[in-house]
Amino acid sequence: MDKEVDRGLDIYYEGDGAGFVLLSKLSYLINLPRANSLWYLLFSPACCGIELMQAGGTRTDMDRFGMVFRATPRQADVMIVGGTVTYKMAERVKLLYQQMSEPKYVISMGSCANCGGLFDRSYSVLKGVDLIIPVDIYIPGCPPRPEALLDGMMELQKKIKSEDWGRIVARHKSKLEER
Amino acid sequence: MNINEVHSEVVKFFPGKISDVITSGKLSFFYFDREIIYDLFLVLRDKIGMEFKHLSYIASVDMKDHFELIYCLYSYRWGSVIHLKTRLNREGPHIRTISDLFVAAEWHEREAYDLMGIVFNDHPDLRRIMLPDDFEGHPLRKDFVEKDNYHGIPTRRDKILGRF
Repeated sequence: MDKEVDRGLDIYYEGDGAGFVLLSKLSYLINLPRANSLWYLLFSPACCGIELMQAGGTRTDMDRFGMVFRATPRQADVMIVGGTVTYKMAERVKLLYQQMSEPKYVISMGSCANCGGLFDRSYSVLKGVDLIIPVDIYIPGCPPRPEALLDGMMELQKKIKSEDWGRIVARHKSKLEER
Repeated sequence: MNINEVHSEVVKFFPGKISDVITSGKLSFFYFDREIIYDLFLVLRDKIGMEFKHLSYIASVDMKDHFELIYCLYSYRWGSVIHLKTRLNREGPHIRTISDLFVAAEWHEREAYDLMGIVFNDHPDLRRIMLPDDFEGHPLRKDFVEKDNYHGIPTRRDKILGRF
């Protein structure tokens, strides 16, 4: 019985099918819509943004997984940092991240956002976006193909589905109390 | 109108201020004194028969003991390109702006100021153009040393895979 519930959702029909019992975990029920409505921020500092646009286009079509872009950080769940982040931009990226509402996720897209990439010895390029904000998923490539980006988004969906909603709420509450 | 013809014309106006034509590889150019820059470019732009009305770019070079500026002009009438160079002191490099002759020069001069620290006198708006306003130093100079951090952000990542 427990094993079946862990799978997610289970329906048991009673008698001739007039009524049914639905068994699930609350975390599963909450995470299911969260993972399937990943709204990403319409933001990209550099050329990986072209692939990001392509991933939202008809061929890869991220819309079918419920991933649509939002033009304001206040409505977005995911920030896709696609490309080279300069020091001038780094402070803006940080500001945008702070404006997003919890729970929020960050995908680092491409070599430049991962570790500085090609611009490793440059005087004005940030050596990896994880130096300023926490990153959930790293996607390698220069630039990654739209399929790779979509794969990264689906990895993020898996991550969200495996989260314990109660713990997130508790952590957030303790953060609020600290203030 | 090639560089030799231009040189033989302008040398009459500025005797002693202009070097001979030097050919280095595929590039032919001549040096001029930085005091005559405004008059020289006025002649090149407006004298009938010259009409170099288009400034392609301004490049700055760090030669370790001095700086060099390279001006590239294009003439729509002759369809020809000429390169002019000038030398600036290592300490406190400055030259008069030509942004009142060529509007395109304004941003090129700001770029040279931003990355190489060359000051253009009488420039209408000499600020940094690409780097943040509070950036310290001019990064394309040979003796530029990068700071450890910028606003608390480390500028180095010692192990590439360190934080993954």
